[in-house]
Amino acid sequence: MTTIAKLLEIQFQGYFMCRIATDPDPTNEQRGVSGYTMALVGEDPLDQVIRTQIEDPEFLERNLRPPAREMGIRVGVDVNDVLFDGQPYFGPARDALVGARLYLEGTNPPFPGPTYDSRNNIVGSDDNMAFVVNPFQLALRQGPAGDESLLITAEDYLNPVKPEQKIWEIEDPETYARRLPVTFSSSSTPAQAAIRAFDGAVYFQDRVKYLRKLIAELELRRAEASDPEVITDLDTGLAELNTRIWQIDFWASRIETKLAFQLTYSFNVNGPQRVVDRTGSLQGEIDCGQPWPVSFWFGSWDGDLLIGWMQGSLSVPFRPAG
Amino acid sequence: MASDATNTPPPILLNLLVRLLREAAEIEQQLMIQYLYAAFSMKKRPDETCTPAQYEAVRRWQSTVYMVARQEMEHLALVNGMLSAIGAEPFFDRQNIPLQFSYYLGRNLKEGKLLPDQPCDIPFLFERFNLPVIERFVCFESPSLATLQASGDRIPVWCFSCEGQPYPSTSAGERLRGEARDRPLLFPLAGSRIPDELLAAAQEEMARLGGPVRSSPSDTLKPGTIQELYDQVELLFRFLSSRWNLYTGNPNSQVFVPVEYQINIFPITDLPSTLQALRLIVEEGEGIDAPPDYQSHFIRFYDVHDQLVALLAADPRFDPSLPVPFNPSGDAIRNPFARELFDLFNYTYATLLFLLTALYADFEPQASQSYPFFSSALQENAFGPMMTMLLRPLAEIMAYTVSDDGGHTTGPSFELSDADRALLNEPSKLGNIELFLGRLDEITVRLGRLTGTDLAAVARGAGDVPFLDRQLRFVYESATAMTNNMRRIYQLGQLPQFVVAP
Repeated sequence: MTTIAKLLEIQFQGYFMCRIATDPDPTNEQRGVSGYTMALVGEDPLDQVIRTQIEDPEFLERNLRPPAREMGIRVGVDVNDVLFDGQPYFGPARDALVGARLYLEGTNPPFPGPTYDSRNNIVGSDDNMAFVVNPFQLALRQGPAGDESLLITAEDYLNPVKPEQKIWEIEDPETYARRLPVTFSSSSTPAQAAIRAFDGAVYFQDRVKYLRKLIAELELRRAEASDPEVITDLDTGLAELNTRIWQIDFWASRIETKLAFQLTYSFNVNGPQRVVDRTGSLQGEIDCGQPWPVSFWFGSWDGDLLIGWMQGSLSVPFRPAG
Repeated sequence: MASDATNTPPPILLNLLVRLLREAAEIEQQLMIQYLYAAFSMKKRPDETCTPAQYEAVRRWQSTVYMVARQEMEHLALVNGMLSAIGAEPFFDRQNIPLQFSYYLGRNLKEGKLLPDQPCDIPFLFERFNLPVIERFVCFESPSLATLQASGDRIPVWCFSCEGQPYPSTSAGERLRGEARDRPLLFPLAGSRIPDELLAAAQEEMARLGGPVRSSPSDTLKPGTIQELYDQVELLFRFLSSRWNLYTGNPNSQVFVPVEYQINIFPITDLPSTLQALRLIVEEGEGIDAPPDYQSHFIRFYDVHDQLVALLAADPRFDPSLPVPFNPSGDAIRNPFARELFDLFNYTYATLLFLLTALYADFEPQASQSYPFFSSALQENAFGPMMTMLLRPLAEIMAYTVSDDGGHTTGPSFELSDADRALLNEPSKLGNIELFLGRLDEITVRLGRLTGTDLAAVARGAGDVPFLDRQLRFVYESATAMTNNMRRIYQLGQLPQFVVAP
């Protein structure tokens, strides 16, 4: 049998959440003070983690800020299309893959998941948007969590010679340069189009109007409330909304411009690659011996909602059965 | 008179300008560290005296104070840009706090700002964030009473009268004669960088040359207030550049930092750029000649003040800050872990000042450098990670660490030793990468030792242990990587991997 040459390009896209601290806050800042992002007092601490799926409804309840739901935003990066050998593909593998959930897994201690690593210009560059996605452990899962019918995983090492080495221990950044963005645009039309927001200033003006409306509603409820606990909760809610407006006002263009940011990554995975197809749904063979090309971008960043857009593809050498 | 390269300004007047700029640089740095101390002290989460709703206000105030501190760093950088522009050495030296600068003596404020009453002295202190502190900060940044009256802005009455204020109201004469010695809360008078003999000689030289005299009550060149200090700087720049070749510094050696995080450090190479910098400094601080509703430091601090007053009125138990000490001293700290943090912070802060001094002394743009890339090695650390990844996290760890002095946690004193200060005044001795790598190595080793501490024994409360552990390890990791980076950048130049193509 010859080596497989043709690629099955598994395309994915969707919203991700990242509760990230931003410069000039230290990158392990848990509340957010001097940067433009923050964890509101009723939310979980900032943990820097790039979340492409959120399956804990309570976490979502605490941390998905309004008006995300009203805007139809669902956090989840999913497979939306499949090409084969550069062409539209309608074979069984497409049906098996479309709708699969993309996860970025692993941890980057002290953070409980993968992060954009830069450490304020120490292991990357915040100034140049040179962030490493660390670690990079991609998983595509079809079917219920823990009982997937199809699982594809790909792990990339920062330093393949010493996979256990931490990024801050690596003396030569050339070692992991392939994991840094290949391009960065601060005025990306695809990034704007992905979330249909082409004017950052107007987008956030609307946001502030909306937040003021919420404040008016809460103030009305507070005026009528008599239960001290209810009053405390309403005061907290009002304070949080005021903080959000304050941040948008305080940082202005720094927040507005991020909506048009696009950071593109592209590399061939250098670590273990694995396919578990319990039901044979792919009806074909994937070659796990060749490095899989992965290309994706992050952008369309809403620094108030702490949500952005991810889009890209994982390409696997594939030979359909028969 | 035509301007040419040999047409150097009169030495006495040039000397005075340099000394005025040094005075300005020191004041900007002194303000910055007082603001930082207050910001470091502010709570990082709600507790029994800070409700969740109150915490949201504290967070906003802390962000404001940090932002103003950043802009004081910007002012310090711009003043050093002016020194560099006229071929003078950079200046990052400072006297240790607590101090009383003559510019903020009650008598000088009354005369300089033409006040009806003599206000209190405004000392330079390290104090945790509270109402008196924000009142003091408002006064630091306040325009004159006449300016406020003319604009119709709010008037911070406590800045213009001494009634009910904690500090005395004195004059330099009273202090020098010892008359004010017994008054409470009297802090040492700061030394001036402008000797009276130089002022007298400069005054005479200015009159001889037919230069402009200052329109002050006493018509001397001696500035009485900060506003007069900057007025004097502007006057000398205008006068000296009009007749002589004042801008003898290398224009390519101007440190430039791209505009970000409300910091604007731009090259100063001629009179227009000097005037822009001077205008920016007074506009950001006091809001002088700024557009309506401009968010000057004065306005921002005044807003924080009013919000704090309102929250305290609603809840007198509210306390926005941690119990860091008033004017911390290493001798008062009984806890060895806290003492090591205290010393390490000061060592790291001095290292940052050495970095900045060496950078400004011999700055080279990255594009024009070749091996050794000393300037890049300094720049990549000076403007970012030293403050955000070492100093601030260290101070935040200290604020949650008991000092065992009888009730306080720990705060940094930003103290410079005599040896540190001597080195800061000899930039030529700082032109050595080994010095900086040695200091970063020492910081890393000392942090490594601290990570082995039983944090339960030093934390303010059991709930703070995870925070301390996480912070300490992270700072250690960052220091390790910064040391590696400095060495590599010195050898290879700015790390090309971190420049992403558009």
